[in-house]
Amino acid sequence: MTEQIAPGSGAQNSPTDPTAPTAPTAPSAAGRLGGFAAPVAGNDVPLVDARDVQMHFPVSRTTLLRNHREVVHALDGVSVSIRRGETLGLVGETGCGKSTLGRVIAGLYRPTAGQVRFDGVDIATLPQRELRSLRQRFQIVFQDPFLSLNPRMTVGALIGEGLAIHHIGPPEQRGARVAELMDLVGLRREQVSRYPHEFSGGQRQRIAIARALAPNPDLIVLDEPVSSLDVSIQAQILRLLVDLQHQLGLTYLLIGHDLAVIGNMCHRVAVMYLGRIVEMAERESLYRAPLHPYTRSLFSAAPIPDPTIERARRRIVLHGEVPSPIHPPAGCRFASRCPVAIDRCRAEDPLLREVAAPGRLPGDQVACHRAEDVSGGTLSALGSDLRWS
Amino acid sequence: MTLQADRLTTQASDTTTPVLDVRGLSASFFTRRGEVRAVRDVSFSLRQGETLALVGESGSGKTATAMSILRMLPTSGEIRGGEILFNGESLLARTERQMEKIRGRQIGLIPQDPSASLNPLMTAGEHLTELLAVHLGLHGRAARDRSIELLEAVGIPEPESRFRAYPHQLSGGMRQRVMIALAIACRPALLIADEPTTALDSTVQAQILELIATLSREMNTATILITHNLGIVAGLADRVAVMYAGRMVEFAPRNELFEDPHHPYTVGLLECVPRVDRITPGEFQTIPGQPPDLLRVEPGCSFAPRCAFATDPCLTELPVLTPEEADHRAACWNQRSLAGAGSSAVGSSSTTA
Repeated sequence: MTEQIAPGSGAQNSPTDPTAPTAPTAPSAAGRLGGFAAPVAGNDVPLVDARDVQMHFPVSRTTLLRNHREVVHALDGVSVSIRRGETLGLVGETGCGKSTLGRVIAGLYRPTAGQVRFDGVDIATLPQRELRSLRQRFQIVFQDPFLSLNPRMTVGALIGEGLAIHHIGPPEQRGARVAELMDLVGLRREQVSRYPHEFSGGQRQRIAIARALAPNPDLIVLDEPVSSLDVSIQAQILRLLVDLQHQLGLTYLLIGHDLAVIGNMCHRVAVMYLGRIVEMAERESLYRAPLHPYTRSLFSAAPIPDPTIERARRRIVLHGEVPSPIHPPAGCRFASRCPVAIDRCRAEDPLLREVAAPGRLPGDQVACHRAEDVSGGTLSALGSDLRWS
Repeated sequence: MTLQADRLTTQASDTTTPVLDVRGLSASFFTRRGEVRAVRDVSFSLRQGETLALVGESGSGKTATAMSILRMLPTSGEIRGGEILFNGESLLARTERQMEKIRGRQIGLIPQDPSASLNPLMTAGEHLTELLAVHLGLHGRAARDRSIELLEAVGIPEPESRFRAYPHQLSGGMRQRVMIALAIACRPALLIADEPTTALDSTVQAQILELIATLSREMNTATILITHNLGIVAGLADRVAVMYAGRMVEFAPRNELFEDPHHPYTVGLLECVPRVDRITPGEFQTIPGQPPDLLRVEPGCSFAPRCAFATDPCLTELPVLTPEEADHRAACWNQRSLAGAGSSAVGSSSTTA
């Protein structure tokens, strides 16, 4: 079962000699963009432009005498834009709001406040009927292909469903389109009348991707698409996604928690913590000069499969637990666990801002009062194991 | 860690016999579609204070191996052959009642998902005191004090109040710490950690791994660490067993495995792990194909259909781990020609698609 995917896509990749050992590309290798398609030029309006998005979920807790109405602050004032043809990464730990943001951008949740402009149209306030017709342009792929595919539908029906819903093409041609999509994602055409349970996790994720591609979308939200897959299969799916992006000019929002995967896939990365974006930067900057203490602690926690490096590391240890999203703290939300927090951090909410620092590019933002000190390397609590510039 | 080192010393005293000696272990699951040969002819031994990592992808047989040692295979599973010696005595010859005394007391288990392992109706303290009563005969004040000591030893802040907490009142990381406290409560000679951090966030994962490493070092426990994450292996293991399709395909001291892997599967696996310190934008090494169906065991090497180095004998003759008795063994007919061939020839590069 060889993975023949995407004929012709190799042209945009930098050719590498398959016999040479992979060049160790340190985060400090400046300006390395090899292997990436440059984001599509010519239209400066971002495909997605979300402004001050707030997503609050009401919850009620019943105690002995009273019913408490409370609100989970899943997203609080999040602004993010996605350029055409790029992959924006969204990282953070459980409960940080990354999946919620993905769903808001995919039009599955209506935010409680803020705007979400998709190609100039605000989908946050768009009437349901108009949203439905726009929906074919943004699709979503979920983490668990065991849960996201209806077990009673054949592969053909699953992939073709979107075509029927959005009335794309004449019905008699949909079979041909399904076959084409199966080729595109590396499924064999003769598997068209099989059911999801006959496929492995990786193959199911290919079905989910074909299903998302069917209505010819501009944007695909990928919510942890490889987290439930084995390493060798993970790499196959990631490669497929990169090839599809080259071939079809897709824009991706990739949600994940593995910084190594995100770094290999994304042009820009946003780091989230407790309903907020705490740092957003070009990949090169974030992997070369991360400035938020939380970003640094995420890097510090990522295990590296090299015993010599791994055993010499000095990890940043975070104490305490993530505060409750029902009562988020005043000031910086990370302050209660931050190894370098000062009084100001607990009182004053830091805004996302540009910080001129070595390794940073224009447009890179961080929400930390101490970003300059972090950059200066004078904070011993962050004296990290990885070598930042 | 506040426990006195002498109180944490394990029960195994004899340093010459291995704590665990698994010989030719085979185990199968019987399903409607037939016999799934989950573990095939697996052998390894483990000394006191040593951490062995069992590495492999889903279905490789690593958990089934561990569950065979605990004699806790699900009802569809059965040990089909081999021998398991624990402190020199056969575990397969034990009755179920005898095994109940060994589990939790001499062999501790840290499971993958602490939420599924703790009783939601019992407090952390009740879990611990029950275990201490059953295995060590501790009751009342003594059991309570010891439980609080254990909670403190696994890094739970305010152990007195957490003693009274129910599982749902604890975070995932705290629940896993409670599981670790349960696993080490009787100072077991062998600790089995089955993907102990897979359900946890990365910053919590780092803390839990550190805790397991510290405790097994202090108690001088033999530890089996089951994981699919080679980064965790690099940090924690002394020796590594790589499993594929129910078999052990490579067995090596940790540094040798990473620096000089002999089996093409190991080489491929090391290549396809993305690394946070080596970003290669848009490029992914893969192992083509998929793991085999364990219902149909073909003759020859199970990895051969995916292997770039496969030759005729690979398809017909089963390779065994060689050289015998060596520290570093691999089950591959072509391992000698593989040595020095350049690792990236195995994983196919992303640009060749």
